[in-house]
Amino acid sequence: MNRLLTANFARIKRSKLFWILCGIIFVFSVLLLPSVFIGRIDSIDVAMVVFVIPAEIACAIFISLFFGADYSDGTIRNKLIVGHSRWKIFVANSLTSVICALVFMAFYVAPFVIIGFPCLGLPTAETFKTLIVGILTLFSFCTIYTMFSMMFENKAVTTVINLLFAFILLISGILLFCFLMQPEFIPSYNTDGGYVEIPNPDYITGAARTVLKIILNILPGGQAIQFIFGAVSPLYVLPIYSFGICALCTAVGMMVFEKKNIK
Amino acid sequence: MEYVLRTNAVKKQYGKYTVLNGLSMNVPKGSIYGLVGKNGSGKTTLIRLICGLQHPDMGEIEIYGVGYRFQEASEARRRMGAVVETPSVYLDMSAEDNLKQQYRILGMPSFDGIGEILRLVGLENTEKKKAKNFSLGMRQRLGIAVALAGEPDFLILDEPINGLDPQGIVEIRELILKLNREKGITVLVSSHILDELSKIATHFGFIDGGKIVKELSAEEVANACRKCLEITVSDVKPLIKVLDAMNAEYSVQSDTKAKIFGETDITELTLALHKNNCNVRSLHECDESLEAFYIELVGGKTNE
Repeated sequence: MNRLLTANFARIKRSKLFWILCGIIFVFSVLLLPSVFIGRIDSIDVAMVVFVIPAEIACAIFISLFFGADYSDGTIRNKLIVGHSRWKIFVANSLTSVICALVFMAFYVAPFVIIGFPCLGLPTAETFKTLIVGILTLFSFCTIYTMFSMMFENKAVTTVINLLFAFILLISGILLFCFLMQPEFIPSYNTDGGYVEIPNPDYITGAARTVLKIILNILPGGQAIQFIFGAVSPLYVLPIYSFGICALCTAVGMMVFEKKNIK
Repeated sequence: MEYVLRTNAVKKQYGKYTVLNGLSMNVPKGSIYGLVGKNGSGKTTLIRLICGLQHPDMGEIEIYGVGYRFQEASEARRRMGAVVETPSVYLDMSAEDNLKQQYRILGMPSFDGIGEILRLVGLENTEKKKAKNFSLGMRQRLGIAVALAGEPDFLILDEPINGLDPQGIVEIRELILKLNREKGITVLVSSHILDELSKIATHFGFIDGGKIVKELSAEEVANACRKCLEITVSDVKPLIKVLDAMNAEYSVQSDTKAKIFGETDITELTLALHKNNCNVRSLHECDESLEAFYIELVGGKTNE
């Protein structure tokens, strides 16, 4: 496994795409800081936990193209021919993808540490907890992308699927969050000028609310939205779902890859 | 005889289409084994199975005596290298970087030997040129170089001369011979360009319809392919008598047909047959190439 990891990291080190994505994330983070200074973003805490979104999109692009090249150049065969087992290749790729995600995150956080903390002060302890939970969310994104990258041999197809997933997960997270964030009561104005609060017909209650909450918590996109706009569930619940997604995607990906006829 | 590779009754299906149908073959150690077969006969599928890229539906594949299902198969595979169809190289890397990458995959402690491999395949002067800018022949040689990383004892080459120009074909042929003779590497090489294969192979396996229809050594193939006279007579018994008297080398094909090898005095033969009341119905010279031999083998007739 160490050999496979070493080989993957050597490739990453010389990958132009990887460093370009790191640069884009860094610039994005730098450009976000003035918004905190002028108050368009509430606090440095909110700005910091945004990291999941640029990092997961960067991961979708990088993981698809990086592992896709192993198929398109045929080099995955070199690993199998010399006796590396399929599960080891899969696990090594999964680990490689989460390490990449951590590097992307580091590039996002770096401007905050260098410029943000001295000028705007340190974030709260709660933000550090959210950052850690956010890393696990990012890992669940990575395992989804790795699963698809190892399932499909066509690099272009994998990239499209992973990018679609990246945005579908985010958009579905936003939609679910909007449904759940509906106020329970809304003001209703009378003809005499006064108003009373009446129940919101769009407010979801009962079992449907519980199911939507669970879906929001399961979806990595839903978790990412909660970091920014506030959690609808306790923070400690989210890592459980992240671990679940990581385990499920790794198991499914390994099963498919194990039986895959490689050309 | 010691074998590097043995397969027994290997079957492989894609959906309802059977590609390999009980294929058994034996690759002797130190040989250049030519796997001969037409397009779609199952050569590449067999090579994919041997390389562990795909799993057989039935049957057994043994590399260095270890079945592919066993844990030890990984160690056995460590001793082999392969180029399956197209060369497996990172196109955005130079030849040297590609080899370094394979060294890392193999867990080699240092990059010693890369220069020697590059010299062996004639790519020592490519410097920083990326593989995507290589010619087809150079890529093919780089693919072989990657397969040679880790000093394998067994090299598998699938259609290594496909698409190469005459110069490239000669280079690959010489490289295969060099690897076999100087480094003692056993080579399994598949091709449908039989003329080329006949120049290097020490053993042949003829594959058709997903089965090995015949395994022969190069000597046996040479015997089968050498110049001969095919004679059809009214009765083969007097012919045998005459040929024995002439001290000729021959093989009887049927009750009326025989093949006579070497130089034969046709006048003397026909006169002698006439004396023995044997009529000559036809007589023609055969100069069988490997191609003709293969076509006869897998052609209209059954292969038993």
